[in-house]
Parts: sequence; C-alpha cells; structure tokens
Amino acid sequence: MIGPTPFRDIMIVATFEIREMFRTKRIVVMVALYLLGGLLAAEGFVSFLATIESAAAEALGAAATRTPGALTNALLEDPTYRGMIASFLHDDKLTDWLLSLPPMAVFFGWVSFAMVPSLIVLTSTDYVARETQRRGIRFLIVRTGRLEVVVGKLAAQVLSTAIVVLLMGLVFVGVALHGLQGASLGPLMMGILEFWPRVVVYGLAFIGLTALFATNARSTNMARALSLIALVGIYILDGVGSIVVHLGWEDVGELIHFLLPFIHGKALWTPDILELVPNALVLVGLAFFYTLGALLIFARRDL
Amino acid sequence: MTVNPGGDGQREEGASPALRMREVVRRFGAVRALDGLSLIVPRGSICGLVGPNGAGKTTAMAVVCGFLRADEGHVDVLGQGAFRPERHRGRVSILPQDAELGRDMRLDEQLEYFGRLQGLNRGEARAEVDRVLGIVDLVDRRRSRTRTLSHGMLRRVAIGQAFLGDPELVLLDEPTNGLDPRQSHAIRGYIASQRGRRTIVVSSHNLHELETICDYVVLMESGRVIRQGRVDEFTGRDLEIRIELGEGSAVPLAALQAAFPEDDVRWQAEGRRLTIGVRPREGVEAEDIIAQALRLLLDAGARISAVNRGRSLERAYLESTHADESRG
Repeated sequence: MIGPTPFRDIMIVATFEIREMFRTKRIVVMVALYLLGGLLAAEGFVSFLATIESAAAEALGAAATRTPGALTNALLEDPTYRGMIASFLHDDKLTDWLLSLPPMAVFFGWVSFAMVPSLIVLTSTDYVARETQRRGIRFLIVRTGRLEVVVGKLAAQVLSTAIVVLLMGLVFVGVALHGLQGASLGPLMMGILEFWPRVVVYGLAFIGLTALFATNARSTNMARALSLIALVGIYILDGVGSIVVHLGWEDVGELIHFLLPFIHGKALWTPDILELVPNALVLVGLAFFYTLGALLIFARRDL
Repeated sequence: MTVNPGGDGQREEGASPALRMREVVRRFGAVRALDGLSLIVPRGSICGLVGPNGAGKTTAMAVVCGFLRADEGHVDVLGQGAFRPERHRGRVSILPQDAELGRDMRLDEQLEYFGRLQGLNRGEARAEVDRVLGIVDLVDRRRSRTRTLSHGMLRRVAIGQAFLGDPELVLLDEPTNGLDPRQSHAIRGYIASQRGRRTIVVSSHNLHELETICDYVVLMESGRVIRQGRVDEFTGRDLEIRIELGEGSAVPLAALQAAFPEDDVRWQAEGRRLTIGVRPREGVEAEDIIAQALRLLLDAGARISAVNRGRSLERAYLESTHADESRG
C-alpha cells in the first residue's frame, strides 16, 4: 500500500512527527533520559579516575592532584601502558586509535553503545502504536500509503535519536571540561564525533527491531512491553549463539550472531574504514530487514 | 478468501456508480460483521446508511477505505477497484466514527498536514484549511490546540477534514453525533448543499436527519442489505397523501372518491386522517391531487390540521425490517 509520491509523503510525515514530538514534549522525555544517563555516567567516570589517581598518589607517596586526569594523561603517553592495553585488545591499530582519543570520548562511546538499545526501546516504541490505539491513523492512511506513514515516523525517530545522542555527547564534553585536568574542547569534540555516527548506525538496528512492535501492537504499552521482551530475547539469543559456537556448531552460532546487531556493533570499534563500512552496512541492512518485516505485517493488518 | 482484485485502472469510470460492493464478507472470529453485503451508491447522490447497532455500517465504511480487509467479495470505489492510496488519494475521504485527532497540535497544523498528505501543496492546503474551518464554524479557533476543544468542536474538525480538497466520495460515520442542534442543522445543510457535486455516504441512527438530506437509502441488518433505493421510493412521497382534519370537520368522502376514481381514497375516523393512495399516471402529479383535495375539503367546511406526503423514513424502515423479520 504505497501512495503516488512516497518520498514527498515520507518527508511530510517525518516533519510533522518531529513537530509533534516537541508539542507533546515526548522529545523532552527522550532528552531527559539520555542526558541523565550521560551525566551520571560521565560524573561516575570522573569520580572513578579521581579515586584511582588518589590511590596511586597515596601508594607512591606523592601529593594528590586537585582535579583528576593528570595521571591518566601521563599514562596515555607511557609505552608500558600502551603495551598493556595492546595485549588486552590483541589489536595494535585499535589500541593506537583508542589511546589517541580523550578517555572521556572513549567512555562516551562505551556508555552510548551500552545504553542506546534500551533507551531506544523505552522511547521509540509508541510512534505508530499511539496512532493505532487512538485510530488517528485512519486519517492518514486514507490519504497516503501505510509505508509512507511508517517510514516517515521511523525517519523522525532516527533523526531525533541522532540528535539526542549528540546532546548526550555534549554532556560528556561538559563534564570532562569541568572535571578533568588537561581536557580541551577540540580533541573532546573530535572524539565524540568519532563515536556519534557509529552509535547512530548501531541504534538503527534497534529502531528497526522496535518497529516490529511499534507498528503491529494494539497499544503503546503493549508495544513497549513487547519491545523490552524482544530486547532481552535477543541478548539471550546472542548468548545462545556463543554457547552454540563453543559446542562446536560454529555455522549455526555465527548465523545467529550475524542476524543480531551486537557483533556488528562491536566491529564498529575500529579505525579501519574497510572494516567499519561493511559492518555499518550490515547494521543498516538489519534495520531494513527488521523494518521490512514490520511493514509486511502492517500492510495487511486491520487498522 | 479475499477476492479483491484491485480493479483495472480506468474501467468504466465515467458510467460506474461511486461505490459498488458485491457479496462482501468480513469476519471477526466467528462473527460475520458483513455477511454478503451488496450495495450500489449512485454518483452524485447523498446516500444514507441505515441500520441498528451491529448492522455493519461502520465495518462497511472501513472496508471501503481499506482500513479493514474484506474476507470475500468485491469492492469497487469510483470505478477503479478496491481502495488504493495511489489511485484514490484525495478522491475519497472519511469521517471515522471513533478516530481521535492528535491532542497537542494546532487545528490549522493538523488540517494542513492532512491536506498536504492528500496531495495539496502548502498554499493550497492552507487555503483549504481556512475553507473547511469556515464550513464547520471554527475559523476563530484555527490556532487552538485540539486538546483545548470540546467534544463537539473536535467532531466538527473531524467533519471538516473529510471535506479538505475536492473528494469525489465522502463517507461520514454518524456526522452529527455529539453536535448541538444548531451545529447539526448547519452540518446537515452543508451536506445537502453538496448534492450533485460529490457522492456522500452518511451513516446515522437519526432517520429524520437522513430523510431531510439523503436522496438514496441503504437499509442494513446483520451485515446485509435488506433494501436499497431512492428515499422517495421508500417513503412513497408521490404515492401517498395524508390530510389530517380538525375535530368536527365534515368529510366529503364521496366527492373525493368521485374526484379521484383511479386512486384509493380512505378515511380513518380514529386519527381524523384522510389518506389518498395515488396510482402513478402520466400528467398527474401529487401536487395536483393535493390542490384538488384541499379545494373539496375547504368547500365542505373542513378544517385542515396538516398535509403530509408519504410515510416517514422511520416508518418505512420499521416496516422493511419487520417484513424482513417475518420472512426470516
């Protein structure tokens, strides 16, 4: 069920959806969740560094620094520390890349990769279910195709998630500038911008996954509950894939891992563009695959 | 199984009815909400969809607009097969019975959004918003958020959105439900003014309302059509004249029967009602018979209380459903 001008209609739906997010203050909830999570994580990181550095200073009998970060900065330039990280990561290129970035930027990448799946499930599930529940969708699908409605709303979700993740990155920058010695804006921003597109691409797969339930549940609560169950389910499935690999059924385990976003998300942690792009494309493909599944059901369901 | 081929583009578009449903079945579990529904709505007509709760009126409208899928049967909308947005966008609109508008957007934004989605450019959409808000008397609330409107106002906005652009087929599910008498009257007037310009299907329990605005009626019960046709045919508007007389009036029955030998002239003393069953014939209209009958009655000194033509739609409906029950 596609209308005569799909691209135009998708843009109209997406634009209206974003305006409605601001009007209904849904965007405020989304921003609050992401920023609160980011603030707590960044402050936690600064406290962690302060604890480690004061413990180290105490052990060495040196005076503790007033703001944490000095010891970390010294460590980053120390070849022994680099060797230790390289032996831990088993990847020289990755080691050099991570050590070239401000620690707070790396921490932002780690936190956002960990947080984004559950935040997307919490904030992105109701975008079609809400319309279906109140039957307002009938005003739309008599005017344009179901595909345009879903893809337009999905595009708005992707855009809003991208903006909110970037805002979360700015919180990390702010906390680092305020609480870490030697932190400077330029390198921090560049570090955040290294991870930001990676997080957004990783998030696409989860937005696609929630689309399955957002489009086909009868209510927003049902959509949210099913999406949470699905998220837990794919974490479990990922674990099952690893167990299957250990049991010797490597092909089955690898297939399970390939169809889930986690392994491709981990593979985005690389400076190597030739490794980065294929995995990013697989994540986009997974998002497309999940969304296509949602659309195939949505196109035939009663509304 | 679904037999909804989607039509073949331009086939007989000009001559076809605005809506044709043939043997349409829609099941909800064990319940057959539409049970072989067949109906035809002529182009340019205002068609009333009449039936008790659960007759399938709302389901039929939802199937026409593609909200629900038919399990069996054919639906042909504007001569172009089953509803498809790529074919019918901007040509078909609906006032759904229980759909809610977004509560936080402004009226003009909401309606402009709908207008743009049905293919209007921004300028056209804005002009249409002003026009339809004028129709539903909400111009002064154009920048209000929908959540600040009363139930009746929201209903009027929903009616207005159905007239955005220039739809050829408009489906209105209980349009005056929840409106005050003045607004109901205005909306009825607007619907009636659209006769011949577009086809409007109105579902309502208010048979008096339908009688005043419709020229075509479909009676439904248990997911089927039990009768359909012109309102005049239902009510017998040209076939029955009823004249009520005041107390003590003399009734020149013999003179009336002599004046209309081909018609059936009867007097009911209990209701003080004179009924003339008119046999249709060339050159004689109901108005002529009314004029001649009144002359005879007035000459005889009768006091006229009321003159009515035909039965009410309500009576016709009750008789039709009773006849159907008897057959059943």
